[in-house]
Amino acid sequence: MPGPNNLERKQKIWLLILLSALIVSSIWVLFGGLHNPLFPNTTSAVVEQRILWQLRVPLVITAFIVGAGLAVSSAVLQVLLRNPLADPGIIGISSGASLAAALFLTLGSAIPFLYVQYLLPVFCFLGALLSTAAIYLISKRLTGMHSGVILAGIAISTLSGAVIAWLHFLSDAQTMRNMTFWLMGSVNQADWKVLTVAGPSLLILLGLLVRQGSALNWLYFGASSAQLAGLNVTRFHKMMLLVCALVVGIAVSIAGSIAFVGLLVPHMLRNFFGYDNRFILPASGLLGGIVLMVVVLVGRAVGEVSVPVSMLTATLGGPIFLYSILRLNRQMG
Amino acid sequence: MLSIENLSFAKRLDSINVCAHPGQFIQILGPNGAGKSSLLRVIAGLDNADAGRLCINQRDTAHISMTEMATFRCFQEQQQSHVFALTVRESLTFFARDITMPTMLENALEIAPFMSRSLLTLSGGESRRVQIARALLQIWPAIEQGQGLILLDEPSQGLDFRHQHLLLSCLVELVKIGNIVLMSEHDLNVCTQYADGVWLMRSGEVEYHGPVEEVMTPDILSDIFDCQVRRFNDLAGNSILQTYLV
Repeated sequence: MPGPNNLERKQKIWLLILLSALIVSSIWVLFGGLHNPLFPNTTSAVVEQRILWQLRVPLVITAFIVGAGLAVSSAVLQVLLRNPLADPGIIGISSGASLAAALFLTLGSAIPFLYVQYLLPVFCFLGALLSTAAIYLISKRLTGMHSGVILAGIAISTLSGAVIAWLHFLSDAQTMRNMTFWLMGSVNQADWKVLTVAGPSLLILLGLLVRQGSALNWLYFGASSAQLAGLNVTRFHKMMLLVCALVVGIAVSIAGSIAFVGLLVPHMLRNFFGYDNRFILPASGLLGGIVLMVVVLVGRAVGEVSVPVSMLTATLGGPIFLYSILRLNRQMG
Repeated sequence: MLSIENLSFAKRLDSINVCAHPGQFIQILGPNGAGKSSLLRVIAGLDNADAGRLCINQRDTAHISMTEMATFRCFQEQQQSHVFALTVRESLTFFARDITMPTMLENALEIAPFMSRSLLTLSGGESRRVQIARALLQIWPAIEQGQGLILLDEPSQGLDFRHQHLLLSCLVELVKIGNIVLMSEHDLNVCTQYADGVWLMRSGEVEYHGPVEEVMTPDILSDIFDCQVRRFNDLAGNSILQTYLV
């Protein structure tokens, strides 16, 4: 197959830098505020050790897989749908997943809690898949429009948002609290039970996505260029959309809907490092993880109350995104 | 060798029978909507024929994998739109096995000056030159061995006349080492100068095919295009085709 598969030296170095940053920020999230969690010899240290294992480790895993999942799937979707604005949040995949979760929580209150934990991710995935399919089909009918996907996504996400808002409005106090989580996102909810299933499956799916760099590089030029370069475009499209929907569905099921990370991370990376997906995909995974670690740290610094993640991602990401697009504008002129 | 037998596609191509030998430079000529682009797309493998056979070196293309096709067949499409601000260099490296630009190609297309510019900022002609380079680079190893099948859909669109001549001369060189070039093109004179075979199409059929001097006569051209064509010789003795309405 044409297209060299080796990364340039500079790209490898940047991946190492990002990996180091991810490790440092993870360690910070793990141990920040704790004094002696590893070798407990006092009662308070035993408590700290429990905090570490029961809260901090799941938190770090959640932040990494969700951040990486959203960033990598967006990086893929942007090329697949040929729209630099594609992001699971903006094009309505996350809101489809959230809607499925909200519906399940409202209608399924009779289901025993034990099953809820395992069925919820399934519903999130189905929601993500249905909205992906809807966006894909609607945008196909709007042929020749680059904004077709975005328009379809806005329609789907507005609709899902409206239904969620109605459910929110009509539900009792407890369900309402649960739903806030789906609307604003949180990385503090996942526990070991959920992560033992979600963690490995997300990592496998991410591994699959990250390896599609060469094929996605061809797709920058449209379906026929990729086909001419030897790619079975129809099969690839379907498979990638399915995997992205799975990734987003799982991410939403463990952390609710988190805005902006998906749009921001690949956009920033492409803006600064160029468009080579063989680099952009792994780098997005690492940077997505880093961004959510930073969000956790900032949230921790802000106060005791856990701040909704989407609030922070938007606060931090907005200005960076603005800077990034202004820089792009300068390059073009 | 490329051979096409009884090839039909949708309502656009109707039982086409033609062939092209290694080392042939063929121009596909015909009025708008005659099926030139459709024919090139089917040969490229982007569309599947409804009936008929398409063989390359006696092998039916239905049995050649897309991956293998991608190593010896390239196609510069007529339309190309970009939504991402990739640089010219990136767009070439994504498709080329070897990143270094062959001297011969650089001399013909002269894209070095805008190698690091974004595709979105190029003019129509510059963009077309990059697109041609990308197509040729994808199969450059096969081209060097004279095994390439080069399909170009109006490559000179947007090119200034100097670059048209540079490109066509380069194609002539590639044909000399055994490659096949199929090119759809509207300019009659540029092609009588460079091509050695013509497929003349109308309404989805190849009505005339053969050597340039046999097919490119004022009578045949006037009939196919429904427009007057006359031939005269300039002071240097070159034959020139002139077109005009009655």
